[in-house]
Amino acid sequence: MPLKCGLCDKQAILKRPKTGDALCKECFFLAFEEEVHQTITDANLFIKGETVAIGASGGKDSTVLAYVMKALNERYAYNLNLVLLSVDEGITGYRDDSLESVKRNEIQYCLPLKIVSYELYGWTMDAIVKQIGLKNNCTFCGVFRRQALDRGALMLKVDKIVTGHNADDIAETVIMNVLRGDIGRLRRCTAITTGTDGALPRCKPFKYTYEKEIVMYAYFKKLDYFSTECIYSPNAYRGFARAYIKDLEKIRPSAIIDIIHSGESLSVKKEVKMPVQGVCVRCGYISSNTVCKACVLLEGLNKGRPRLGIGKTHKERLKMAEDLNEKGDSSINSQNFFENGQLDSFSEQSSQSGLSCCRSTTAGCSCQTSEICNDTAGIHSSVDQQKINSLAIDF
Amino acid sequence: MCSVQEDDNDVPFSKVRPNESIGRTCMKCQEKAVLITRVNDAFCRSCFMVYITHKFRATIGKTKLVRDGEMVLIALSGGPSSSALLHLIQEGLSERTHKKLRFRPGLIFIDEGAAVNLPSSERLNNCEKMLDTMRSTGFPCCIKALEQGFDIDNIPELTSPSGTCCPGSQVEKDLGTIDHDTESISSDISTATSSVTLNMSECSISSSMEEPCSNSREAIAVSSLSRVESSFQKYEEAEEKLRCLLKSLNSVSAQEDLIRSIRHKILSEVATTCGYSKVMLGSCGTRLAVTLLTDMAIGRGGQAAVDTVFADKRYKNLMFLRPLREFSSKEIGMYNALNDVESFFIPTLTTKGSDGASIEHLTEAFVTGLQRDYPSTVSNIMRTGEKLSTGAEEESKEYCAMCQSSLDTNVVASSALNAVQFSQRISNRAADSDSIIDKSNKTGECCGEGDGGCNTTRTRVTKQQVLASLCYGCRLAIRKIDDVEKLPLYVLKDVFWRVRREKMKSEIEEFLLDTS
Amino acid sequence: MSIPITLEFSGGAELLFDRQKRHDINLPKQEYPWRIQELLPWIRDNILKERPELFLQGNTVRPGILVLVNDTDWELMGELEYNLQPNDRIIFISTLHGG
Repeated sequence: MPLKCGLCDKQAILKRPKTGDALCKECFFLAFEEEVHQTITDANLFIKGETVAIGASGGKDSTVLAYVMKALNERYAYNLNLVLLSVDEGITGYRDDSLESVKRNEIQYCLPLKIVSYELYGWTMDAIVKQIGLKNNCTFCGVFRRQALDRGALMLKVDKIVTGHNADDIAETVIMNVLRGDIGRLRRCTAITTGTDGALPRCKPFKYTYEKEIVMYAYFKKLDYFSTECIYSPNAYRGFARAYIKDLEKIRPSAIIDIIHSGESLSVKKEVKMPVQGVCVRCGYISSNTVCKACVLLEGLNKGRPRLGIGKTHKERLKMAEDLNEKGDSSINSQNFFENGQLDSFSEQSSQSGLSCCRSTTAGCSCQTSEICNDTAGIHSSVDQQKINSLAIDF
Repeated sequence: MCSVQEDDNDVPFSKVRPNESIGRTCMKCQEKAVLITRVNDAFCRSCFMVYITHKFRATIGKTKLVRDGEMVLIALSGGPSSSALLHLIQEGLSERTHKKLRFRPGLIFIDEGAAVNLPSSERLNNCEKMLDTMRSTGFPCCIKALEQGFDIDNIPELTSPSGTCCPGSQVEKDLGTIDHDTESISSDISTATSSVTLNMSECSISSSMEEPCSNSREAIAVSSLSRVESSFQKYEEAEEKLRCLLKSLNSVSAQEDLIRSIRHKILSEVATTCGYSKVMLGSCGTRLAVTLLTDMAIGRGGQAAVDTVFADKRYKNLMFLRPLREFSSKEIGMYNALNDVESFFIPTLTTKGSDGASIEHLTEAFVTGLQRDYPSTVSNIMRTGEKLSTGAEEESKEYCAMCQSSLDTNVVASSALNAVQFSQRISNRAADSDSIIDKSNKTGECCGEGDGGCNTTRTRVTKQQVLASLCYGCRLAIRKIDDVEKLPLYVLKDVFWRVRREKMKSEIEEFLLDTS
Repeated sequence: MSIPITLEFSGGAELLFDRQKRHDINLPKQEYPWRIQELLPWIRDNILKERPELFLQGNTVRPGILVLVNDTDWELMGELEYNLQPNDRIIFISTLHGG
């Protein structure tokens, strides 16, 4: 006999991975959306009138996030100004295809779309892989993507970024940080909002949403998303944690949320020193080191020593910081990279959206990125200045 | 889609290739090495022994927690780690030793055969072997069965200064402790106590003593074999209760969790009643790393630190120590092999099980697998634990009625716990399971368990009341239980006491002056 | 000429071998020297009684099983590459909880 929906007596079509309850399609949609709404309101994620960028990769998580954010924004009158923000890592056969699906979302959901390219750094992932091979390439991608998203968001003058990180991702990160003995990240990784200290806040409305339910939601809603794996090999270590989480889920489906509870109830000894968040002296991006990871990686690429910054090469980073300090502080303005004239050209290129947030930047901004870079350790010396200025214009 | 994050690159170093290790010499003395330990240190036999003994004494010594002449209860399981612990202690106490250990050990073995449905002949055999081992040391010793946890009574309002209370004066006397004069506390509050106490003293293996060393005045509690045998018959009722409870949990992971909590309860009971102020556990670092990660996976993250720290001060006036926490299971295995330390094999719930048999079992396979390729895995996990707060600084927090850890259920609106409860509410008409009222709730009657002779006048508690008194992890463990009355008496009594206190508080509330 | 060696299983590993801890065996003569790499499948095919996945994983022993060659950590002997000698004593100790 077919199971009946536990809420409305219609025929059930699924058993919720999260609770084990049998539900019909409509009741599942409602439960799924209400939970996200509950997460948003419990954590007071948004304030009316804010502009919020949805980090959109074209994959299932961010596609469902865009869909649900839009639906909830209307249903509960969040009064948010939503925009889609994508990063183009420059991976032929993967990102170019997934960006197509983001572009379709732009039309389907009537949300303006902005794309930031890795060209921002002067390097596509394809070019990076050509130089460093398939090992460690994810290091570059992870670091650059995060910064690119932040920079794109700053250009758009948004108040917050929401990302599609789901409960599985967070549980996985908790486990990874336990395995690495990384207490600083362990403490931070269960926070629903990060980056409140100065930089742009990022929130995860899917913090308590199971990946399986996201897939089910996308499937039953027939959402248009891109599901191919990246053509470059993924990080093996995270893969272990991922496999462990999946195995745990098979034994006890609540394990994912139980791990998040565990992460939330950890408290760190008072005497343990936490890394202090500062800003990168080179680009002004938040960093717990003098020079941020992206700058170190970029330096390595540009100097033909791509392994610089991979693994625990703190020495190199220290040396770089020293070099910078020696060359005089006057030219270093930590805000420069973030608020420079590039924004103007960027906003002109923005797609049909007519974003209200895309007003042109601080008039008095002195775009000195190139000078800084050339004056100091030559971080962008090999970067075609045109590229920097044109940022994400290649679309 | 890609889930790589910004900081994924900081991963542990992987193992050196095996052929680089062939024929290595000892890092201390250049003799031929016999093992590689930690990440990549090679040792010869004698340097390894020095290294192990030094590490053991340093672990105990540096905290200065164990005083000269202090009575320390050593918990033995028969497995490799606790066998190594016993051997290290014996060596450390011997006269010829340079930096002699100066505490007075007593030994306890808890027979958990009932939980894994071991035939009684095998359980008897295990107990005999353990008894032989324990006796040969000349230390006082006793054997308890896991099911005896069901006969432990707990009356919080009469809590003696020692923090936990004892099953009854009879048992105490039998254990023959000196300098321990706790008064019988089985008086007015629960009439059930008397019958349970009787039960306990009759059945207690320790009720028959021998004194192997005539000069040893204190706490020599060695049971005779005949008593061990007869005791199996006596515990049938408790054994049935244990099986019944484990069965109702409906999950091996939950069963393991509950067994761990009952085991600790028994250890703390025996220790306090017999005058021991410390309990030493044989868990090695590898084991504790598995425990820490398992804790994370079963919602016990808040307890992960206290479960793996050297000195676990969760119980008042009693400390659990883990002197082998710096040792890997490989080091233990080598130590035992090189010293001919005998350990014997006792099956657990997951013996011969697949990796997915339980969360702990899976976690162990995961950690040992990772350890093989990344030799710093265990130490990284332990390093995480060391940076976590054990919550010992915070006084008088509310604790879990089952595992005695601080309650972690008082959470902010935006939390996993609330998210779970919201999910349960929204996708189930019957509301969240946490508020299901125990259907069989009757009041003022015998609990109905066993022969009906327990004479308890304790009001039955509801599942909701029980859950409210438990931490997140213990709630998870008993989530599937059909009747909370299957829980050990000490849990129910504690819950009942809380309920009554709350009731009392609400009754007198209007007379209390708000001074704030 | 065959190679006589002694195998020992403990720590719960013996459960997979009918609870028999010590096995004196003769490895049949073969053209190339016997290495542990060849010994492991031989054990699986000849004396292991059940659940090979609890003893072997891939071409080596399951993580958590300690291997000693004449009381020396096999990591110092080349692990799978070690060439077995007559009268060697190879010990497999499970360090896993509950075997």
